[in-house]
Amino acid sequence: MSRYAGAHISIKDVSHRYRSTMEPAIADLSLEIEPSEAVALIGRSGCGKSTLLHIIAGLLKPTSGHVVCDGREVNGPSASRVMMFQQPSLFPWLDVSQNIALGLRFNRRMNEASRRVGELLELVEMSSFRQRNVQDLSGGQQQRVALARSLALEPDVLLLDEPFSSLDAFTRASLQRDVRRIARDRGITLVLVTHDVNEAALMADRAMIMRSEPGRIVSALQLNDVTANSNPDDHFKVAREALIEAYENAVGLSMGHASHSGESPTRQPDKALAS
Amino acid sequence: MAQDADTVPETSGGVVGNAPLGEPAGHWTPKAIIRSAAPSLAGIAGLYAVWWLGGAIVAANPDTSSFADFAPGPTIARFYDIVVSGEATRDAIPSLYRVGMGLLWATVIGVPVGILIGRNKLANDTANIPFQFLRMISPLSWMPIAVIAFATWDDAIIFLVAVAAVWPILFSTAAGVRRIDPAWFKVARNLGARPLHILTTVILPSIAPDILTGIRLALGVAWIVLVPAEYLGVTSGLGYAINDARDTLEYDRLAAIVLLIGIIGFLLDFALQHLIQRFSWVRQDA
Repeated sequence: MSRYAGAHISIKDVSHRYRSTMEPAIADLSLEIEPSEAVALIGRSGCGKSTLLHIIAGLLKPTSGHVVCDGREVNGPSASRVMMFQQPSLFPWLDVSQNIALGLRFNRRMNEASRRVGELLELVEMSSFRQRNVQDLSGGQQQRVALARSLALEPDVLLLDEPFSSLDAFTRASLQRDVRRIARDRGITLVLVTHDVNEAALMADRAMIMRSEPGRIVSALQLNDVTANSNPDDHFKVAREALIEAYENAVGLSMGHASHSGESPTRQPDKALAS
Repeated sequence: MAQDADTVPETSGGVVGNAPLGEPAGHWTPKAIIRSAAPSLAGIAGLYAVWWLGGAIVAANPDTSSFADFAPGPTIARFYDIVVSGEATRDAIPSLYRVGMGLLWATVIGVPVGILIGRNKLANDTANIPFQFLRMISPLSWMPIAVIAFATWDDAIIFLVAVAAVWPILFSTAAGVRRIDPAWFKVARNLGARPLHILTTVILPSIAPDILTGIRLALGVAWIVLVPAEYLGVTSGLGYAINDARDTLEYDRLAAIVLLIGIIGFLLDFALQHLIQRFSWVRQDA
């Protein structure tokens, strides 16, 4: 694993209750994520996948258990573990480049801003929008700016909380590919929360299938292994079929038509898990 | 009236001209300017007509004819005189100083307290009843206490202005804070923002338009409270000048100062309105 630069994440016996009287959102969950690996947490809403992501980010403190990132216990948010949310939530009083530089500003690295912002704009293909008001951008463009904002701090870990779910199919597909490529090129460890089988099949090396009440991992699928012997053009399709089968076995639920239609993610944007 | 007529077309032209982005320049033909300014000019003309009519009625009645100088003719002539002689400036500067200081104190107190009660539910619940109670007390009813508590009349008046102005600023700030998108806090924390960063990069910029709107409302209240506050004690300012003109039976001067008060108030409000547009990140056309 020496070629990887990303961080190793170790989740040990993590449980979380939002209220002491409530059923735990996550119960005794353990998971090891290798440096530069792309892991998808997949499951229905309420299975605790987003809670787990917030705990890894340090935005939420687990009721018990702990998360260790590259040997250090996670106690709060860190510039090396950055999360992308469902909504880009750009600051409308700042222009595109100021939004991208936010993390640099918070971490007293503004001296890098002029250089980094230019690079990042190029990376997310938004160079011509540098001084634009973010309210003029489309949803996909805003999410690209949010991606650049996340990458500005050169994180070891990128946590994705369904950041593409509100985009149209074409925009979503291109962002999914771009994020996967950027993470792979830079060796960033990717943890992706999704209820979209296509997204998991397209972006993840490994998928963890989760169930609710209490939130836990019920099955794991190494997508690399599944696609290893198939034609590269069919990787997505093979991974997707395997994932649906694993999901059905794990959750005991038939996905019906979802498992037999289409081939490309752009042609079947809404194959979310039955909910 | 000449000044009024000059400012109004500028108002409507300025406001409309700033709002939509990328409006073609050719849009502002002389005809279009006249069309957009016409209602404002008609309104001014209507107000002037009412004033003129009132003056004519007062002049026609022998019982009231000694007040005929309130009419537009003598007033505008006297207005010109007090502007040229510098009397208008001499009267306005102390008043503007008092309003400015009062608003400054109201902002210095109102914004932080507004942020606190907007962010913190316990603070809000604690302060709600006392604040609503205090808010309903006429600022002028603090006058006797202000006179005892402050060494100078100036300070007492500034206190009264501040007491009147603090509430709109405080409540507007608190309402702005409550409207901040919670996701912005999460994004900032996630990128490593500390509490001071949250204040300076999330809270203050997002509520800047609300603070300025509060100051604009406060200015209206402060300007109204100022004149009666200046009726007592002080020997300068617009309120004093009105009282002084009444005592010397110079009704044209009295009316000219009323006109001056209106014009200054209008211009201050106009300036703040522009400031709000400048600092507002909220899309007008959205």
